[in-house]
Amino acid sequence: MKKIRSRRKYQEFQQKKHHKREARRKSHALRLALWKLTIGEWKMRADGLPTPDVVPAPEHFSLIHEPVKAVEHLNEIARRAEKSKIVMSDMSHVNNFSTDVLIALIAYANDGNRGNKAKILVRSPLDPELTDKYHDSGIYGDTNIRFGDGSIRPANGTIFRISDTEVKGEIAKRLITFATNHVFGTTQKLKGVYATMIECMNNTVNHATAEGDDKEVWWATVYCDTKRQIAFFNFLDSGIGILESIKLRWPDVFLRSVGLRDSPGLLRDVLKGKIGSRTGLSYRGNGLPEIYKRFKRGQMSRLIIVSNDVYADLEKDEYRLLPKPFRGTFFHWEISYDKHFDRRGRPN
Amino acid sequence: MTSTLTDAADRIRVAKDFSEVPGPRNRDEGPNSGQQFLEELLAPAFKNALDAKADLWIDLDGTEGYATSFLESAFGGLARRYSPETVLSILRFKSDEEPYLVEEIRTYIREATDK
Repeated sequence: MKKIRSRRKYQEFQQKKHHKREARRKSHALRLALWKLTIGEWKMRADGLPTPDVVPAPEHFSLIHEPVKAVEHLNEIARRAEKSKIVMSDMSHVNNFSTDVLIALIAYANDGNRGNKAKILVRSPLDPELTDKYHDSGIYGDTNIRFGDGSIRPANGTIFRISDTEVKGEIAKRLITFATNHVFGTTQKLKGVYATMIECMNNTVNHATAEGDDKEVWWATVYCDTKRQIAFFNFLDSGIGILESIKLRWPDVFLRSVGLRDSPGLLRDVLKGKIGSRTGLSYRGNGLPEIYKRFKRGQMSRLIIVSNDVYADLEKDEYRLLPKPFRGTFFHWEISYDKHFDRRGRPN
Repeated sequence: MTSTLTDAADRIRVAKDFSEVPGPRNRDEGPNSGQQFLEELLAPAFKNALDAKADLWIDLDGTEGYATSFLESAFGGLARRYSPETVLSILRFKSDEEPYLVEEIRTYIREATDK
């Protein structure tokens, strides 16, 4: 073997080696994509594991933009995961997706309380831009979910994902730091976002767990669109949902039972602080109204909540009844440079 | 409402003396809770201020932000130990970064009951 004595030549040699390896990996991934097979699936085949139960995802796969179709698909995945060994959400044909659906899939896949024993796979989108966004999410799970190339890696790039079962301010700070650094170029405090994040964690820790279940896990992501200077925050748990966790007064219980009090109206009242906490203590139950207040103060925009059978877009003041209920609670909000920062680059 | 700190007054700077990342209501929900703040910092300082018949300044600036449950647990909790009137007569607040918090906290103190 020829010895390389120059440092520069050695570096060139290493670079060439790296590029060759990358090209080989990419061509292999492309070949598998054309065969509609992820590397994860290919490895599973090689291991002699059964073929997954494939469920095609909606073409526009997003809880924010297409909640009805997204909830339907997620429910179908969850339903099949209770029966099959391996279920696959096929995103190869999607035209667009938002990162919220990815954390929903992860949350479902790792939901110990629903007894999901199945692996939930995702077939990555074929569109190169979407593939990048998908890979960038760093959502490669280490428990019941295996994505794309089957590897496990930390969140990199423009998406940050994290989960826990406690209320942790340090995590909220990390998400905000990540978002402000990527979108605005500097670390900034976003007090409204911080408070909202803590309220969401509180909601999961105190209200999302059904009686007798283990502590619910919450999942949070922030996706940064550096071109448009927007940070998209998502927060999700697969617990019992807001409407199942509130304590209704008897007139509301009666009206609800005869169909005169619908879920969208209830969620609206919860957010406006008209319905108390299930603890029955007058000084509790301020968390969700606080999120609404922070939004009204302009500390974030595009607040969307999906919980039980309600989809609420608070910016449009639109509360919609979903034909099929969503399993858990989902919050989405956005921070943009134009709306939330002044001319000197400080938060409004 | 924005207030100013006097040099002579006793004060607690939440960010410096407790945490920059205030957390949930109770200790069992996560770190840096309102309960912890109340038990370790606020209640002892309040007792001292009460004995000395002095004001106790709370500087809320410098943290990442506050959840309502933290504030209610700390200040509402203090009002449940003493009384809303006593707490309001001793505590003074500084919150230049989020001025609306001062009125919110006063409401939590006024409405702190066990019902």
